[in-house]
Amino acid sequence: MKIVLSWLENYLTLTPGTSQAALQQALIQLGHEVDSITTSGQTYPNVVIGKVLSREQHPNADKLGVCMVEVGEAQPRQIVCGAPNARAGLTVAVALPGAVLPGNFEIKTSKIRDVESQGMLCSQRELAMGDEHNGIWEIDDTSATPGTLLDSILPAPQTVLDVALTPNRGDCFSHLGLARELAALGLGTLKPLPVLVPGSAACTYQAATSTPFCPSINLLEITNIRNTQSPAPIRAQLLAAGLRPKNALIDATNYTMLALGQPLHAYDAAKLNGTTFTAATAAGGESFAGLNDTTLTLAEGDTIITDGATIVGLGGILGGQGSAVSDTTTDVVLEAATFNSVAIALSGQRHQLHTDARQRFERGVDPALAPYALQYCAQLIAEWTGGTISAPVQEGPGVPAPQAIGYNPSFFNRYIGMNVAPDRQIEILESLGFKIEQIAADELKVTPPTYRTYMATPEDLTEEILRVLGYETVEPQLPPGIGGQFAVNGAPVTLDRLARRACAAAGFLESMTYSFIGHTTAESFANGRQLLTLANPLAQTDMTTMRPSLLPGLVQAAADNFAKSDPTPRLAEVGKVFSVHKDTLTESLMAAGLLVGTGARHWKGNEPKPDAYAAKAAALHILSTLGAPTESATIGTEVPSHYHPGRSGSIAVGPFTLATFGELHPALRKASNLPAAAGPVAVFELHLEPLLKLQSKQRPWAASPYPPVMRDLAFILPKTVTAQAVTGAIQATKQPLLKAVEVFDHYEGDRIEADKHSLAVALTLQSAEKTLTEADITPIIQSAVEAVQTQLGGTLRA
Amino acid sequence: MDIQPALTQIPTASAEALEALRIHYLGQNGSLTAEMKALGKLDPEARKARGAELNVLKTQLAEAIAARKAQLESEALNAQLAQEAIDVTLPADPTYGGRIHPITAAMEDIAAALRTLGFSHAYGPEVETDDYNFTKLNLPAHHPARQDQDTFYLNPFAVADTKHKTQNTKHLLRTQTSNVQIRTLEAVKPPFRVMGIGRVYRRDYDLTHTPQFHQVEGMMVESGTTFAHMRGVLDEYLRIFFGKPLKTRMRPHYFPFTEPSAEMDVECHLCRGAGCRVCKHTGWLEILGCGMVHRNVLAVGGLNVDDVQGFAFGAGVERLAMLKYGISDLRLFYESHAAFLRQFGKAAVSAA
Ligand SMILES: [Zn+2]
Repeated sequence: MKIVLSWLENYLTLTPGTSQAALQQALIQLGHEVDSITTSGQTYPNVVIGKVLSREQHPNADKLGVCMVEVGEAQPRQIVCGAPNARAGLTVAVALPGAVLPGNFEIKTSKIRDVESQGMLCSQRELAMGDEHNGIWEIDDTSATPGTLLDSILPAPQTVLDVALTPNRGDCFSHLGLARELAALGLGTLKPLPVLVPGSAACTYQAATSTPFCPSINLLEITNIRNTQSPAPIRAQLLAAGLRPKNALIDATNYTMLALGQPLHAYDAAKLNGTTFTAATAAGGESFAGLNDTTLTLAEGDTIITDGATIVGLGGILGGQGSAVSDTTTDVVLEAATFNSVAIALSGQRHQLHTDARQRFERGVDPALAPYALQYCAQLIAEWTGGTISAPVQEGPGVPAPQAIGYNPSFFNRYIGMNVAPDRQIEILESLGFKIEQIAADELKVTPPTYRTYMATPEDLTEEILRVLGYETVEPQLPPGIGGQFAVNGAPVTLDRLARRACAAAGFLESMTYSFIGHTTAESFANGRQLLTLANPLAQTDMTTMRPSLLPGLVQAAADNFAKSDPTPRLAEVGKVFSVHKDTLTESLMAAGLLVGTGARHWKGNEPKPDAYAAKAAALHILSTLGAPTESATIGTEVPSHYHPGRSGSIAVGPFTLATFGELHPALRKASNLPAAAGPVAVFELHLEPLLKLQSKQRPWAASPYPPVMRDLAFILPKTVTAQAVTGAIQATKQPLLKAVEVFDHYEGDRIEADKHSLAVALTLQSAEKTLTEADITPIIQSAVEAVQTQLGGTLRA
Repeated sequence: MDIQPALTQIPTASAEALEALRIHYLGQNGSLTAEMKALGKLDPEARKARGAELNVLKTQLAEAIAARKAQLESEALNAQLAQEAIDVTLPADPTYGGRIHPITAAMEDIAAALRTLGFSHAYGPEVETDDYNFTKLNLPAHHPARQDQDTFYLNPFAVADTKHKTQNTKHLLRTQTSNVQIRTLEAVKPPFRVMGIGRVYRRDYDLTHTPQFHQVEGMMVESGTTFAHMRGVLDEYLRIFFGKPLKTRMRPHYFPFTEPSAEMDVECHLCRGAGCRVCKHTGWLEILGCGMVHRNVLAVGGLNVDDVQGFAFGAGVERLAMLKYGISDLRLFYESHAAFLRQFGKAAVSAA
């Protein structure tokens, strides 16, 4: 809210010598952030009042005139002017040589078509005072004397404080409201509000309310007005407060709202169809034409104002187009009502209307204010436009008086941790308008003023007292007993952090991409799961859908880095992915990594482009860093559809799938913006949450004093038989002395049949009791060979 | 016999010449060997004298040859080593300099600071219900403060979850980590000190806003926790996080879930309070919001303000990271520039 200092001073006598800085400091201490202090309005050095003595035709140009202008000097000035309205007798604004007009336009003595021009006659637009540009400004201020500065007839510049109000302070959405706050802090004293005498003429109109959302409606009638401009100082203040002056009626309602905080509405009596103003609940479905060509379909729960025949307003939010006042309005009905803040908020949300009235009513307007504000506004109108004010009409049960809050002053110390004497607490509360009734030494009944609509608890009162004392007066204290008591759910958080570090330790740059991505992209990575979509995304193509995988973000990030000529070989992200699975929302913690060839050259020879095995190694490395028992992992081929189906796999331990890895599906690879030179995109995704359920088995172990024996076996196998099948079959022989089986070579190519491949495995045998002899070893090797031959169709290679 | 010429030649002899000399004197058919063999023909007296004499010569020769041989071997080794030398200034085998994201580092630094003050981790999901993000935090549907937080809502999906019986439970992306407060209050009884750190979302995208960012939430509820404790803990937390004492100031503010509510500023690090462009010439930078937990929020956990009281606070991680690490543009955090991640990311095993 913009607070105009001169306006504030209508309600507050500031302590002499109060600086702007002190004012700002006080508002901040009270909880009202001051975004800026500015000066509104401009000054015009070297622009003076002039009187046109004569205008002659320019000898060399049809459209120009040569004026002699009296500017308070010994001789009138000769000024060339092209305005059609320049004529003898006008009072005008004259920019003298040296003046700098808005837009950094400097005026100089110059020759225009061979005629000297010693200045310029200004239009309002050239002075940035309005859009009027049909000619020079015809000043109609009779006090304007030629030769005096133009500034002398302009409203003085206004100091404006832009205050950011918190939503609980509806009472501060006015100059009066902030004046009250500053007075409580001792920056000045409140001036009494003028005593207003109601009109005596009977009002033609009646008021009624049939809705609890409008507990009070007040109106009066003003007849025989002339709706001209409001006075210049008022217009200057309104403009400084950010509202464009329109006509006296609208300006008066706006002025009253900004002055006191009560929104009001003026109806043109000639445009009304009935005489009973009624606040009612909309049935829903009615059409309503509001101001500024807003057409609404009303909903049940909206509060409407009717004139007995037609809807003339969406109560507390927007007036009707049909009964709007205009420059020709002569009779007007002025209305000020009280509305339920919740109903206004919901109604405003429904219709997406952000009006000054809604802003105030939903934050709470003093329910006792309306009758006074109505009279205040009426008086302004009568003063500015003439007219006769009728007696006011008031209807409705009104709002219950504020409830007293039971308060024990010792609560302040207990809650805030600072001792403030009860008397001082009472003094502060009273300065803020609270009424105190002392029941006992430790029991007060504190009644908030009607305008403090949010006050309900003793804690609220501690804040009021503390605001005035200043939060800075609280001495910091450290609580006793530092030390964590328990972890609510610490393990997942720790896992999240450790996963990021593990990825970094494996050589990945940790990236953070957006949790929402484009829907089409999301679908390519959804693997059949239902996606979670935003109802109100920022844009319709991007950022519409919660990511089902971290990979799209990484692919994009990798492509962006290629585009910036700073490709990076390894990017990772740890974060949440989202989907709906069997009607249940799932939000799971995952890590993902992406490996690409960057084309970096090396003197020892260029690295091979990352492939599924590189991704597999990274996945196993990170899982192992995080403590997963990867030695007992099994590899599967069930992977999401965004992987290359033939070059991807999964890593599981027991029942838990911990990772998927492989090449990105060629179709997605192609759709990405990665250059072809980056090679296949090797990726992995880690499911982190199962790691919390895994416990590595504690197996007994003792060093054997006898040396292990290694035996190598090479098999020719059908291509469909996997390495894991071979090692699995050998391990399944369950020979107690067989300690390990590992693949150490793989071959496919010209030297063997096209549908066969060769695998070489190393068997490690060891006993804890003796040195093994051939007699011990042979049967174990035989059973291994037999298993591969009979179960997998392998043949031992010579 | 005279071995003097041989002894003169040996120190400079090549390996081949040395071997020839050895064979000439000490070989199977060498001259010294021959003289030794001839000793048997002498009478005992002469044999003894001559034998001793020959032994001296043999030892002299053998030692000289061995010395020269060792020298030659050492020279050969040195020559080989010199020949094997490589240029160690050539680049190493490729390594990948992994880094954690600066926001991750900031979140860890924050957690570490709060851990020393006794706070434990608590948790809240990113997709949240309207209830946990707003209503239970004393922000009913009509509350004007909801407008301050432009919220992303999710399209409805079927929820079988029996906890939320109504099919029209409104889901949204949490706008604040304060949902952690509610989830904690529902789960545990005081005394407790918890922190929740994570990603939040607001529908705002411009120079100074990204639609996602991170927050840290803290809440301490004990029987005697006061506003003064809040100030003490927050001052200490900021001191530990920034690694130096900082001037702070507290101003009244409004949050529906705290009463009294405050905002805390730190002295502008650039101008040291004198006022500059970054602090909009105020000398202060807003750094967190806080307040005493509202009785309506405590009531969610079945707690009564007569028995326990506490404070809660929330701060933007990006803001803290920008201040601590000197990062000027918020949007850089989400653009994954490799150069940015390398420069501002932290080492994998750096202490947090
Ligand atoms: Zn500064």
